Amino acid sequence: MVYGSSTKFGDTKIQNKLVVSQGFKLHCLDYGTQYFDGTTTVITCTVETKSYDAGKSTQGKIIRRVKALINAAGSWAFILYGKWKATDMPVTITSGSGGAHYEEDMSVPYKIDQSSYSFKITNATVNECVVYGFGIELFNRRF
Amino acid sequence: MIKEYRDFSMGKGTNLPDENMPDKMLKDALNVYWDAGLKKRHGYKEVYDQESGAIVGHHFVEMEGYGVAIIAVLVTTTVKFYSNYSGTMTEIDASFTWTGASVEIGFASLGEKTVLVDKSAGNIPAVIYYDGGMKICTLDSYDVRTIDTPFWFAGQYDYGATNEYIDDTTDAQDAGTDDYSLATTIAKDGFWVASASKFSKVLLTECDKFDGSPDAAYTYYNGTELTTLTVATPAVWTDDKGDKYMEFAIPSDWAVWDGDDAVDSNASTVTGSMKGNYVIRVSFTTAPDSAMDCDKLTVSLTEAVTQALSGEKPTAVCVHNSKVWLASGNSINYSDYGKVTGWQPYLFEYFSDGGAQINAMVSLGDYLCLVKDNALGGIYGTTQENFTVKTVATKGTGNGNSCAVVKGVLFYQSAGIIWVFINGYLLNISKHISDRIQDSGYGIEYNGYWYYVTAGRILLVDPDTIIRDDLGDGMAAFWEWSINAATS
Repeated sequence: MVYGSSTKFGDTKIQNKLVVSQGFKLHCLDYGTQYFDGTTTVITCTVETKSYDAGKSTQGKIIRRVKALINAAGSWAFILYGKWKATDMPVTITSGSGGAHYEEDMSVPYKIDQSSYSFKITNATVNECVVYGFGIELFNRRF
Repeated sequence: MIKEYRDFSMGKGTNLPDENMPDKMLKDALNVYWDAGLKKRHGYKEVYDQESGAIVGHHFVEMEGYGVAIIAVLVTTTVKFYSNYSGTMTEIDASFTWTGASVEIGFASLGEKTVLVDKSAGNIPAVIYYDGGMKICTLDSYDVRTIDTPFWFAGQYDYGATNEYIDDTTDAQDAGTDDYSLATTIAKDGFWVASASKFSKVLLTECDKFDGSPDAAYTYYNGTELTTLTVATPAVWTDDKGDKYMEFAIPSDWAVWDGDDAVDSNASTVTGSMKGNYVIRVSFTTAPDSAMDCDKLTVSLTEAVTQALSGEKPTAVCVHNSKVWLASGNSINYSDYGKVTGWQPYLFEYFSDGGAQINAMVSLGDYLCLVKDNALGGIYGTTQENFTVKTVATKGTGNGNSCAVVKGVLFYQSAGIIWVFINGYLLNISKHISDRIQDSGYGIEYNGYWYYVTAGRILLVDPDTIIRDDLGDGMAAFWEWSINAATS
C-alpha cells in the first residue's frame, strides 16, 4: 500500500486526499463529504465508553434517566450497560430533528441499577453522524 | 447527581482495564475521530481500476501545474509505469520496464522530477519527468556526463606497426569530414579510445557503412592485459552511413593503462595519450573490404549514478535539504543541490549502527533521519564540508514503510509497537492499544494525522495528543477505521 496526496483523476473530491493502493485498484479512504462507499454501502460507526463508577466503584447506584446528545442522523442503536456490562438496556433512537444537536431522553428500568455503567452507541446509516456526549442522572444507594 | 461525559478526545484504549482508563478514553470506537465531538469518518471510494496486475507503488507529484498520479504495475515479473498526465492512465514508455517478482517502489520528488528506487534492490534507480510529454529513464541515462575533450584521447590501432597505437586525437575531436580512421582492409587493425575518467559510451558521428563482413573484437585493460569487453550495445557497422554508437557496462576491474603512450605520425610519443588513462580498443578481426572512417567521436559516461553508488542498487530514497538521497546498505549518496543529477563517488555518508541496511530515510526538521532495524541515525549539515552523522536513538524498525513525519514527529511501527521520536525522545505510545497493531503496515502523513494502513484496519494518531505516562512511556489518541474488506 502506498500513498498519494494530490491527483488529477478529474474528481475534485480527491484533491489532497488519502489514496491507497489495494491490489490492482486505488481507493480514496476519505472521500468527499459522503459517509458510505462508492456503491452506498453503509459504514457502521461504533462508540463504546468504559464503565464509569462516578468515583466509587463499589457504591451501588440508582439510575433514573439517561440522555444521549447526538446529531439528527437517525437510526442510532443505543445501549446502556450496568455492572461492567453484566446487564444491558438497548434502545433504538429512530430519528432526531431540529438543529445540529439532538437530545434523546431514555428512562431506565430498575434492573439496570448497578455500581457502574457504560454507554454504547452505533449508527449503521449512510448519514453524517456526530456523538457529542452522554448524560446520566443517578443516586447512590446505601452502601 | 448528574454526570456528563462529553470529552472523548483520547481515542480508544482496548488494552486498559476500565479502572486504569482515563475518562476521556473509549473502550471501543470504530470509524469515528475526534473533532469537538465524535464524528463519523468520510467514505471510501474506488478511484482507479487497473483491471489486472498489482499496483506495487503509486505517487502523486505536481507537474506542469497539474497533480499527476504515477503508478507502477507488476504483471508476473514485469513492472510497467503509468501516469494520468493526459487525463487517463497511460503507460509512460512501453520500452521502459523493471523486472522482478517482489518489486516495491519508493518515490521521492524534487520539484517536478520524481526519482524511483526498487526497495527489493533488483533494479537501478529511475527518474520520471516532463519534457514535452511524460518521460521515464534510468537515473544513469538522465545524468549522462559528456567527457570534455581535454580529458580523452583516441587514435588508430595498427596491428602490424612497431608502435601499434597511433594518436589521432585531433581528428577524433574535430568536425572534419571522414578524417578519423576506424578500420583499414587489414585484419585486426582498428581504433582505440582513452580517457582520464571511466566512460561507457562512444558516439561515432557520420560513421561509414562498412562493406564486407566486418567482425569487431572489443577489449579493455584490466591491469594485466587487454581482455574482452562486453559491449551491450555494439555499433552496427554495416548500417547505412550515419551516427552510430557503442555502449557498455563499465567493467569492475577496469584499470588505467600502464603501458606506453601512443605515437604521432612522426613516431614521437604523445605523452599522456594512453598512460594513466582508461583504454578500450576496437580491433576488426575480419576487416571490411575498404577503409572506413567517421567525422568525430564523442565520449561519455552513461553510468554516473551506478559508478557513484559503486554498483549498489539503492533501496530507499528521500528528498531532504533540496537534495535527493539514495541509500544502499549502510551508505547514503546524495545529488547536487536542487537537482536529481550530480552524483559522485565521493558524495556519500555512512551509518553503520543498528543493522546492515537503512530501511527508510525521512526529512526530520534540520536533519535527515536514517531508519535501521535497531537505531535511528541523523545526518546533520547542509554541504559535504559540514555533514556529520550520529546515532539519535537506539531503537528502529525493519518496517521502513511505516515511517512518516507528522507535525515534526516521526512515527513508525516495530514488533507490535508504535514508536514516536519527538524532540530527541523515543516513546512507545501504543501500550494501551497494542492488540490492534498489525505488522507490515504503511505509515502515511495526512491531514495532520499519522495513518497506519494495514490489511485489516486503519489506525489514526493525532500527534497533538501525545503525552508521557508515569512510567516514562507515552500515550496518544488512537482511532480505528475499518478498511474496505471487499477490496483489501
